[in-house]
Amino acid sequence: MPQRNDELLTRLIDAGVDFVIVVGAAAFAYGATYPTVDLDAAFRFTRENAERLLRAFDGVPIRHAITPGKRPVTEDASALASLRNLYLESDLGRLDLLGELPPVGGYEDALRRSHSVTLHGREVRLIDIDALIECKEALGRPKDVLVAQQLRAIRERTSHPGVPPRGV
Amino acid sequence: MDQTRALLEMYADRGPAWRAAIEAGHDMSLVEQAMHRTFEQRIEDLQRAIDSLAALREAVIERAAAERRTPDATH
Repeated sequence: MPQRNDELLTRLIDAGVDFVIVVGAAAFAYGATYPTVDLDAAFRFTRENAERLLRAFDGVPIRHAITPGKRPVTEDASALASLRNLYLESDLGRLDLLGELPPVGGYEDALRRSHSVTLHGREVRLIDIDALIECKEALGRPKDVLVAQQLRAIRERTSHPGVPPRGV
Repeated sequence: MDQTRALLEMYADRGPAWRAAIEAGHDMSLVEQAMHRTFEQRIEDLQRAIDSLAALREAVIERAAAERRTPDATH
């Protein structure tokens, strides 16, 4: 299964989906060196946003990635909005939509702790590096500890005068 | 000189978090390199990394299949 993060992001943005890029792709975006295959996003679980999500996948069949047999998504927007997380798989790859991002909180908290960046001429929200470090430290798994270590160094470096950040 | 010592010398003027990352085994020259890219370039780098790793995996699968077909043909 290919992973087309560029097309996933473009579709989400163009459909007006409310989301914030978090976790692995966000860490890579800040300069961490661990590539991640899937795309994780904090997602506003409302009916309106779920409708926009379904529009984003117009013409692309989507499945629940973590269900027996990976059953197709047949729920309507209201049913999707009642979920806490949504793990999607399609020909564009894997997209994990998270309603909670411990210890940061829900979507609104993630949004508050994010900033706008430009991707292919479009604005997209990226979680800020402090919140991302908190998430990685809270997860505490070996791979998250490693990424958090790099992020702390990146934060330290970017707070040093005369140094990038470029674009974040 | 091992990589960790070389990196510690290279980045002798950096702060404690940067040095801690080096001591933990991270090649911070790669991080430094990434930090000179823009956000958009890094997202494109990630897509290229995904694509190239997928291509490498496909090559491994193809080689294994070829070995099963003709065990002596590949080395």
